[in-house]
Amino acid sequence: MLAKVRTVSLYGLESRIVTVETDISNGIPCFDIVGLPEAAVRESRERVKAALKNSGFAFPAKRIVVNLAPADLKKNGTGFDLPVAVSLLAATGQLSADRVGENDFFIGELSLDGSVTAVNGVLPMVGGVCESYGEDAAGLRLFLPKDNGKEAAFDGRGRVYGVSSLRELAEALAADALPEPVRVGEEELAFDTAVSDGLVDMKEIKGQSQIKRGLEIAAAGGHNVLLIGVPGSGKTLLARSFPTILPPLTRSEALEVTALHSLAGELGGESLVRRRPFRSPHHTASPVSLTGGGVVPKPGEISLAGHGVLFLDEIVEFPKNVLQVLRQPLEDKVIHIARASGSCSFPADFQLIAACNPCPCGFYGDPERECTCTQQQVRRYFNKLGGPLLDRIDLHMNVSRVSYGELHDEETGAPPAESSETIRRRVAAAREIQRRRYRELPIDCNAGLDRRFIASFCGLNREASAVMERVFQRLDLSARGHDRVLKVARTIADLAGEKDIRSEHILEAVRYRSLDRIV
Amino acid sequence: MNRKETGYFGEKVAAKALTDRGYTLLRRNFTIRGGEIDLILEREGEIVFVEVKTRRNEAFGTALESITPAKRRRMIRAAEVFLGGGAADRDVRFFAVAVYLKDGDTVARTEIYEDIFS
Repeated sequence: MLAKVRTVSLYGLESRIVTVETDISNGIPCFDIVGLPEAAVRESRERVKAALKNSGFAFPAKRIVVNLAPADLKKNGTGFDLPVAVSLLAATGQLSADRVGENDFFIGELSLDGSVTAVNGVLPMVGGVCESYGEDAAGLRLFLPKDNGKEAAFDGRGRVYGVSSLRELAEALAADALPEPVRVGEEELAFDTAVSDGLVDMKEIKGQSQIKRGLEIAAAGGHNVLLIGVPGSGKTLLARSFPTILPPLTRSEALEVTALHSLAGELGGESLVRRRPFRSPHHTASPVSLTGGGVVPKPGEISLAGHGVLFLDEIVEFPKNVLQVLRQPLEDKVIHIARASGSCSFPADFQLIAACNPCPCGFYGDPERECTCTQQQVRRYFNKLGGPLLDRIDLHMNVSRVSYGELHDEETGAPPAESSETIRRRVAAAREIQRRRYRELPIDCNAGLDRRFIASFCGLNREASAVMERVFQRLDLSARGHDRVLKVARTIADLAGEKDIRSEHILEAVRYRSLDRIV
Repeated sequence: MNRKETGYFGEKVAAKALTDRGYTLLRRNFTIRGGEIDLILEREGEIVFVEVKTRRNEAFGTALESITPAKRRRMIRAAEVFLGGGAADRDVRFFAVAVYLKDGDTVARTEIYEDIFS
């Protein structure tokens, strides 16, 4: 008897529909899986065999051949256990074959006792299937591990059924008595604004009001930031407060972030990612761990930081080849990975926050301790970053240590620091202005402006342009530095809710080009 | 009884146990190069290849443990030769029969393991 059951295979974020064909015939008993199964799929034979027996089904002593079509596509992952088991049940008549149709998809790993356990990458799989069905997606029945149910239902198309065991699934299908499809409530989609997981509320940070202002601008315009400061000045703390002032994830952003985390197996028990990611790889990280890759391509740190923050502490300590791989994704917001088994792309739309010391010894510019580095050493230190990477960073800020007075601001009577929530509201308003302005363009915030667009969106009136000219000459700015100042000034004007860039916006923007003065 | 005689005795016991179940004996000790099968039986179109293991005591492991992957390959190879390409339309099964002896020549118990390769 022949039975066909459908499932999904992933390569990177791309999904392909796979038909599991099972043929049972006489002959010397065997159980073979063909159609380029990788190790985890080949091993599914043992799990399926045990799961069937332990669920009270018979495992036939016959010649069993399972084909995974299309046969030229490599199949990975443990999600094939469930479709293979269901097609075996259908092929042996233990489940009437007309119960399983073309629009039914099965994904799931089997435990030896017949229970169905969660797999990685369910959201991109479901998304891909629904995409290929287009309008007809509502007619789909998706049978997935119970623990993946919410995640899959987040997609919103197709009917998702959470399955906890093979026995339960077979009985429900046989009796045509399926439970209600999994649904996600609106409140489960809501953005999570809780400050946790090592993040810091801005109001907890004493002093540093200038840096906080800089970060607010960076958040509002999507600019990349470099924090330069002596050890102990609070660079890490400031970076950890940055995600808390970013605006909420939109639905499509949350879907993308969740899909990537699902693929990497980093959902950590949650079904949806409802906060902006914050990734801080250590400087011993390899290029592949940043870009993603592997025999079965998995997203790396830069993709997992998508729509959130990639924090590179001690960025100068990162090997040069690691920093160089950041160039393309910073430019294109996407990373292409070529592997022997094929190539794939992952989105990498992250905001970079980098931190480093001002010089090798760490005390250049410190008012108390003397720097022991020569000017040449300082220059070489920053040269390590390389021009192309530095070019993608719009704001550089010097972080100095907080004074005793700032640490005890309660006593000095200064106004308390603003909370992240207050700042986030302003940031969200500025983002909204940009979103409307760039509606027709392929960019969504000021950081994405390039030469073509700067002229049309960062025009200056006579007064502002006179200021810009003076600044340009005084600081000996390069053409690139000039553009950078204009972009940041555009964001400052947006934060102020002003239509035109004025001279004070330019003067403030220039403050965030401190590195132009060092190197 | 020497080793050979013990094995022969066990095969007789096993054949009897299976014919009692309605199987008809087709061949004993079917041997080819690189493969052998102790008993070949038939029942209602179903062909059964049997490996017989005779044990005088259980100190050296149970009978099934001694059917290694190599032994399995040898059995399948022999079965293919025996069927001569007609495997596709026959229902083929592989059994193992364990015969445990006591006091040298009395049968303690006989165990039949069906479908050992699936």
